[in-house]
Formats: sequence, C-alpha cells, structure tokens
Amino acid sequence: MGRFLLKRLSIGVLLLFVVVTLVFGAIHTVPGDPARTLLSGGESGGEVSEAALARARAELGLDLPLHEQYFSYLVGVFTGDLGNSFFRGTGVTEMIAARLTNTLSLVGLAVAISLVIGITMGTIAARRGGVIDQMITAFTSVGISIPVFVVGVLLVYIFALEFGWFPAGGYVAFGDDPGRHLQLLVLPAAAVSLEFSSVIARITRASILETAGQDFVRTAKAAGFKDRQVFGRAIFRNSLTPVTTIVGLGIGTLLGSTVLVEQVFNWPGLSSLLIEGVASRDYPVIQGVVIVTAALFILINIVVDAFYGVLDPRVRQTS
Amino acid sequence: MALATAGGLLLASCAGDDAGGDGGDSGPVADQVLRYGIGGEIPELDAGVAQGNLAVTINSLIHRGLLTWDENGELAPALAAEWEEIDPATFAFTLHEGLTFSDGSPLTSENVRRSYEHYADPDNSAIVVESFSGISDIETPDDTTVIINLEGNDASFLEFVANATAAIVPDQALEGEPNTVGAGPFQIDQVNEGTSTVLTPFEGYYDADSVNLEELELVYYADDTARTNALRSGEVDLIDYVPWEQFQAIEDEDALVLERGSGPLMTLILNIDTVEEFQDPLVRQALAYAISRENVVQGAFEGNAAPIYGLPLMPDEYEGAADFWEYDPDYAKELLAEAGYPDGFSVTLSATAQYSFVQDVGLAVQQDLQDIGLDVTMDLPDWPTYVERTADADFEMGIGSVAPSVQEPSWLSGIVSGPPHYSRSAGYDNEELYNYIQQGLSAESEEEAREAYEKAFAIFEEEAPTVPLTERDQGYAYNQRVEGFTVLPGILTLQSALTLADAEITE
Repeated sequence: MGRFLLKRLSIGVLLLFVVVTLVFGAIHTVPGDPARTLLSGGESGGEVSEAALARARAELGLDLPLHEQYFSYLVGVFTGDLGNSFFRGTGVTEMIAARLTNTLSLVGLAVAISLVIGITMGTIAARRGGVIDQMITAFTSVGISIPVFVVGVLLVYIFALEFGWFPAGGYVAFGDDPGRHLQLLVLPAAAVSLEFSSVIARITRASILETAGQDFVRTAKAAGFKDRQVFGRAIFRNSLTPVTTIVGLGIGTLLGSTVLVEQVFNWPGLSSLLIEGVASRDYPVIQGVVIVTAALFILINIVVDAFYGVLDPRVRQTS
Repeated sequence: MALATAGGLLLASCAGDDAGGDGGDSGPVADQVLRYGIGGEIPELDAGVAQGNLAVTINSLIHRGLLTWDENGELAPALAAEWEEIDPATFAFTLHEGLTFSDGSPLTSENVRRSYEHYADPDNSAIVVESFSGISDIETPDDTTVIINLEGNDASFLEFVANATAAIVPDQALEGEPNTVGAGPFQIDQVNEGTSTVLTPFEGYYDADSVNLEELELVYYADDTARTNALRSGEVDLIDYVPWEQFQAIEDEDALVLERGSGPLMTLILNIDTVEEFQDPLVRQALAYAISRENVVQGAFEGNAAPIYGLPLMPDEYEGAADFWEYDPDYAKELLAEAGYPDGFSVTLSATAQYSFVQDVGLAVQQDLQDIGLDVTMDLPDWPTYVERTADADFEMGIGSVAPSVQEPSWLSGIVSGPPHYSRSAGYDNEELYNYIQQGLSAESEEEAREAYEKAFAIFEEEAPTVPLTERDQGYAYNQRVEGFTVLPGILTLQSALTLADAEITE
C-alpha cells in the first residue's frame, strides 16, 4: 500500500505540473489585457493612457517575455508562493486559504447531508421495493434534473424571504460567530446536496440490488444467517465501493463547481474567486485557484483509492 | 429533502439569531452600524484613476477633495473651508486649520499641490487630467492657502476639483502605494477576504461631528439578485445597482425606499476608420433615426430609463437644443438609399455578455437595424475582451457606455475626440466640432458659451459621430430606518456615497 500511494503521489505531482503549464498557457492566450482591465474599472470606468498601461504592466511583471513569466511562476508554485492578486494587490495564497476554508465547509456539509440522505433513500428503495421504490426513484429523478441555481433561488424565496427562518445569504467566519456561520451555511449546503444525494441514492440502490444477487449472499443465507446479518455484513458493505467512487469524484467536482450556489447565497468560496479572477483577468488568482483545486482533486482520488482497500481486502492484496 | 434538511437544522438558525442579530431589527439601531451591499470586491485603489463604480464609492467615503457636492448637487466646501474665483482662470482656496490624513500625518497646501500635479500628468491617467492639465501654476504661500492659476478659462474646473477621484492624498499614494489613506469621513478599519470592508469614522475629518455612523460595512454581493434579497431580508440596510427588474418590487415594499438617479449613458459606437459605410454621415444619421429608443428602454431596462434622441444630461438651458432625432425607420431607409445602400449592408455589432443589460441593449438595436435592411451579427465577448477590442479599434459597431465627469456641456468632447475607447466611435475626427466645444468651455460669458455649444450640437446632429440611446435609471434602495442618504442628481449619481457622511440609523 505504501508503494502504491507513493506511486500515486508521484503521478499527482506530474499531473500538477501539466495543469500549471496548461492553465498558464491558456490564460495568456485569452484576449483581455489585465492592466487595461485593472485601470479602466467596470462599465462606468474611465480611460487609461499608454504610459499608465506600460507602468502597470511593468509592475505586474507582464512586460517580461512569456517564458520568463512562466519559469518565475513555476518556481513560485513549487516554493509555495502563488504571487499577488493583480486586482487586489494581496497575496493569492492568503486569499485562497480564506476561500478554501469556506468552500470546504460548504462542500463538507453538503457531502455529509448527501451521504446520510442518499444512502438512506437508496437503501430503503432497494429493500422495500414497490411504491416506496418508485417514489424515491421519482424524487431522485427530480433532484438530478433541477439545476442547482433554481434550487438555490427557491430555497431563498421559501426559507429566507417568506418564512424568514434563514438569512438570504452572506457569510460570517466560524470563529467570529459559530451559530451564525452554520445558519448561513444551511441553505447553500442544502441546495448543493439535492442533486448529489439523488445521485448517491440511485447508485446505492442499484449497487445493493446487484450485490444482493451475488453467490456469496445466497451462500450466507443458506448458511442460516439472519436477514439483518446478511444485509449488514454481506450486502451493504460490499455495495459501498461504487458509492465511494462517486463520492470521491463528486467531492472533487464540487470543489470547483459550487459557483452558482456561491453567487445565489453570496458565499465567498473558491469558485466565486475563480470567476472574479477570470472577469478581471487576474492571472495569479486564476492560476492559483485552478492549481489548488486540481491538487485537491488529485489528493481526494488518492484517498479514495486507499479507502477501497479498507472496504475490500482484495484491493489491499492487489495493491 | 431540502425542506427536511432546512427544518432539521433550524436549531442552528435559532442559535444564529440569538448570537448574531446583525440582520435583525434590533442590532443596527442602537449601534449606528450601516451595512451597505455593493456589487463586488474593491480593487486596489490607484490615486486619481477612474476604476469604476466600486472605487468611486469607497473614494467618496475615505477621501475628500478641496470641494465636494451637497445633497442637491451643488458645489460645497470640503477640505477647503472657503474658495474664491479671483478671475475665470484663477482660484484661491483656504484649507481648514489643522487637517490631517487618517494615518495622522498633516495635510497642508503642499499636499494639494503635489496631488494636483500628479493628476495633471497625463501619464497617471487621472480622470481629471483633461481639466487639470490646464493648470499653469499652483501657489502655496502658507500651509492653508492654495492659489491655482489656469492657462485659460475653464468653466468645468471647479466641477473637476469636486470629483471624488480628485482627492487630496498623502505622498505615498502618489508613489505607487494603494490609495487607502485619506482625509474623508471614514477610514478603512478591516478588510475581510471575499466578504466585506469595514469602515469606521475618522476623528480627524474636518466635519467629524456630523458623522453619525459608528461603523459602515461595505458587504460584497456580486450577484444582483443576492444583493436585493439581502436588502429585503434585512441582511443589509442599503444597496446600489438595484437590478431594473426589481424596481417595482422594492417600491411596493413599505419598509424599503427606492431612489433613482442617472446611470452612465448607453450609446451606439462605430468604427469609422475601418467600416467604409460609416464614413458617410448619411449612414450614421440613418442609424440615429432607425433605432427605437423606447424598445431599448423596455428591452434592457424594464422601462426604467429615458429614451434619448439627441444629447442628454445637459443643463436646463440646453435641453431643447440637444434633442433632435426621432424614431423614423422609413426616413432611415431613405437616408441609406441616398448614401448608396438601398439594400443595406452587413455589419457586426459587439457588446458584452458580462453585463446583461449591455447585451440586451445590443439585441434591441440589432432588431431595429435589421428592420431597415442591415444584416447585423451579434458578437458578445466578456468585458476585458470587449475593452481590449474597442481600445484596439478591433470592432465594427458596438454598444458604448459614457459616464460624464462634469455637468457642463464640455463632456461632449469626450465622445467626439480621443483615442479608441468604448465610450466613443473609433476614427472620428472633426476639428470644427471640437473647437466649438472648446470655445464653449473657455467662453467669457454665458451667451458666448451658449452660442458655441449650439453650433457644436448642430454639427453633432448632422454628423451623428456616435448615437446616444438611453439615459438609464441608477437605483439605490434602502431600509426606511436609514436617514440622511440621498441619491445625487444627474452625472453625480455614482458619487452618492458622499452623503453617507451625514446618514444615520433611526427607529
């Protein structure tokens, strides 16, 4: 297992290098001058002289040849320095650290909700069958098909504007006010978890039904184990491998794709930082967010691979 | 499931209400804390540069110039306790005694001189450079006296002096440091990454006794709907850039107030350099007659804008003279035929998808131009790409945006001359028109100015170098408990945060 993890980590570092190179190349190819965007403001902004542009480009390091900018950035990345934001002037590492915590808390709560509700619904659907199964299947179809921003807007309308149970959006740091932080986190996490819990429910249901038809389950039943014991020891545990795969991929995807929910609820996460970076051509921010997201995605998949071994001894032996 | 989740976690909600309370009815009243929902994060501030609405807002709060604007849009003293127009090209200002910046350093006439010399240097891209570059000399006989001599008459000079970006700033802001230390009513106390900027009153402000707020938090809401919902649910007390589709809903709520001002003008800009058809004034006139401004107003602003068939935002005495075209598609077709294009021609119309209302203006214009026979293809890049393309004159026809800096009609020169920019057509050059505007600006009398400007308007009507479309309403909405905040009229609207110096939270 140790060698396996080491090999996966090495590949991960290589992948990260590829990501750094690709994102650097991509953003420098896209039109839109960061210096001009910075100095001219939004649509109510003003004009910029060529001299001011030249000075801004020099201050931002954009006057250097592209290969020099690339190697300078590469050295920075592998020494933990992601540079300073063009737009804000502050360190990108600090900006990402603050936003990452917010994204992790949003994704963490959403995944926790999704796991509890998704596995519960999937298990009930598989074990009960009949009308209950059909109702849960219909619910998950709706859950998967409604866009997350529609869910978000509906939650705001119902629970914030109509009932006033939750705030419509915003953010307070957990350390400043834990209760308020959780209060603000509930609706966005619920919005994100609707689709994800539906996916988990479907995978769980299908996996349980498939595992229930396996030979070792029949053997366990023939050996006289009670239904509950057969389900708990033979079916449920063996059904979790595909769920683990989906959860691992889902967490990685959510880390970079909660932007719509962040916008609707004004939750300052990593995705909205990326969107702001793109809108203002803030190269260091764009690069930093993509690299950190990619690194997390790679890391989560390594953890998921390791978790397979916990669930299935055969994987441990193969590794 | 969402219902179950929300219901199951309602305990957290209750705990939050007790612990936080910043969105409820009780907190801000006692504490004089005003939460202001703005459209995004504030950029690193660069002294004098027009960095958009967010920068104007914070500049209006933490900085002051020699003059400012009162709630009626009239010039008012600020760091200068008094001023005198010695003659049309000479102005004397007397600073308040004992002024300091928020870092404690003294603010003297020398700071005024150095700030103004910085703004007058074209290399620094200050918004006031057009006027300040006409300063011939700044005398500072003592710490509180400033005498400014202009090279010639400039009727707009005092308006530029009062501009929120023409603040008096400490030397470090002129040497490349972020422009965050000022002498305005508030100072930056805390910046919360991705969330808000907290301001507190600056005790050294010349009129500190009139500042009622104990804290002013600028909360970032990039999404228009989220910002509006935050106001409606009590999370914030005041918002700007109210989306037009929400105007009516806010006006219908008893607890909220909607105030309208004037936003930047929306125009049609042309690339006269590279599109041969646009080099003919008849074609440009045809465009001016072809577009139903009412369609634009409805399509992009839900009716919350004024249709413009001439030159808007003029002082009252020029209003009639600056209103000359009308919606007449048949006449537009005649003009096209007269110009030699009876079957129209193909053209690409650029706008930006990043601001949905700009895109909607483009779509309304596209429809009307197709009705007179033009084959119009839409091009909708994001904002940075659009800015770069218009600056490089890499477009054919586009939706422009103009935020005049002064109320005096000379702002017109900014849309008929200058390098390519999204506020003007590319490649238009008319010395006669420009000269009439300059004559109006430097005129010795009102009659002389009026005569020159009316000649300029007549040329603008014939030439249609760019086609103004609408003057959109700029909405601010706030809770009834906020008093003292006022939306400034006309071109001053985006500087309305100036009035927060006198705002307070009431029962």
